[in-house]
Amino acid sequence: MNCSRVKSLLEEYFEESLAEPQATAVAEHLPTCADCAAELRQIERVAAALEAVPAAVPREELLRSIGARVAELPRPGAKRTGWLARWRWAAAAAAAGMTAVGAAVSAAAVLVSLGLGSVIPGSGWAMSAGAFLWRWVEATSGAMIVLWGQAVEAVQALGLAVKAAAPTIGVYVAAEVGILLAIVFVLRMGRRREAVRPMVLI
Amino acid sequence: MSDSEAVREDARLIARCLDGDRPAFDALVSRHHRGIYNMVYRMLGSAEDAADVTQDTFLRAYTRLDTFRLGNSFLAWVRAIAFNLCVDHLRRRRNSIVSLDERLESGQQHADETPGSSPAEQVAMAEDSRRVLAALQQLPEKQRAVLVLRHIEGMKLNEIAETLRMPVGTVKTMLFRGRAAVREIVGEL
Repeated sequence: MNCSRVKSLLEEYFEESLAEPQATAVAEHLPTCADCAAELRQIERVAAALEAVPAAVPREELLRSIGARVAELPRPGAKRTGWLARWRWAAAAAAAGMTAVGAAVSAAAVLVSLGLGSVIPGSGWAMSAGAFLWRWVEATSGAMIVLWGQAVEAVQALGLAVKAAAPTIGVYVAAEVGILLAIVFVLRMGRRREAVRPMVLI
Repeated sequence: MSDSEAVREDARLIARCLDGDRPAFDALVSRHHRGIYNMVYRMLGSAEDAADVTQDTFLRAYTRLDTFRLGNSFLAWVRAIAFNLCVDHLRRRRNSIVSLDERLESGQQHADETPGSSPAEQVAMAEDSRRVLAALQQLPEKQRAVLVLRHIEGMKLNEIAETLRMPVGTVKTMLFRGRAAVREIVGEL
């Protein structure tokens, strides 16, 4: 093995990562060549000089400073929120509003279907206002809110049918509670989707 | 404490921290801030910058602790964060003028304290270290990082590859080129 080849392998040889039979060939060459041996010593001295660098010691206040800054931060994972989370409160408020409107409208509808609409002041007005608010929310809200609104609407329609046919007040109340639970479920689905995010190292 | 015990202790502290126990993170910082500071300091060559970047490293680690995969090495994870912040810092610094003497000021102070078998050897080794550290600052970031992790932090090639997220072959290439570049810069030692 000539000097040029040996010198190209000296770094690998120093790291003890050179495969056989090259490692043996370099080891046999070094005692016979002062030039290559000197180059290996230079590699060793650079490594030794780096390894001899003493550890830099931070000032004591660094630890306190990090602790103080960390104390100002929210709990891990709480700070980074997706767009779903950012819209969740708006969506929840819109859904709650729609639920209230839906409940008022359905209650008025039930009353009207029972022939009591004329004796309840404002029931006709409540139905009109509810329908207007519903269209307004659909027209002015974001797509996700409308999507949730559609889900809420479907649940309410089902609930309305159940309530209209409710033989007792207990079934009526159970249907109302069911609507609310279904809406909470829809919102929680949104939360879970937001929680599933890719693992990011850095 | 062995490496595996250290990893388990880190995992316990991280789990507590994710449960809302913030002092557990203080304990994590206390365990690792010196090592991270040393690595960052050797990357940047400035005590003040090293303190800032070390602090930013732990703040970022805290805010992203929920993405850490338990079972992996927390130290390797934090080192990777520190390395990326060092690269960012060095890129920003390219746009500002900082004298080499200023950057090496602390390296000289530390090198003067190098323990050795005799005063003459201490002086010689301190001088070698000072020259090598000066050369280190002139290397590209990744080469510098590989040399720091290999020789100053004493990491194995596969650990460096894991930390810097590059193949072992690339780490070896950078290590060899980095050492050759240092020899080229410092000349005869």
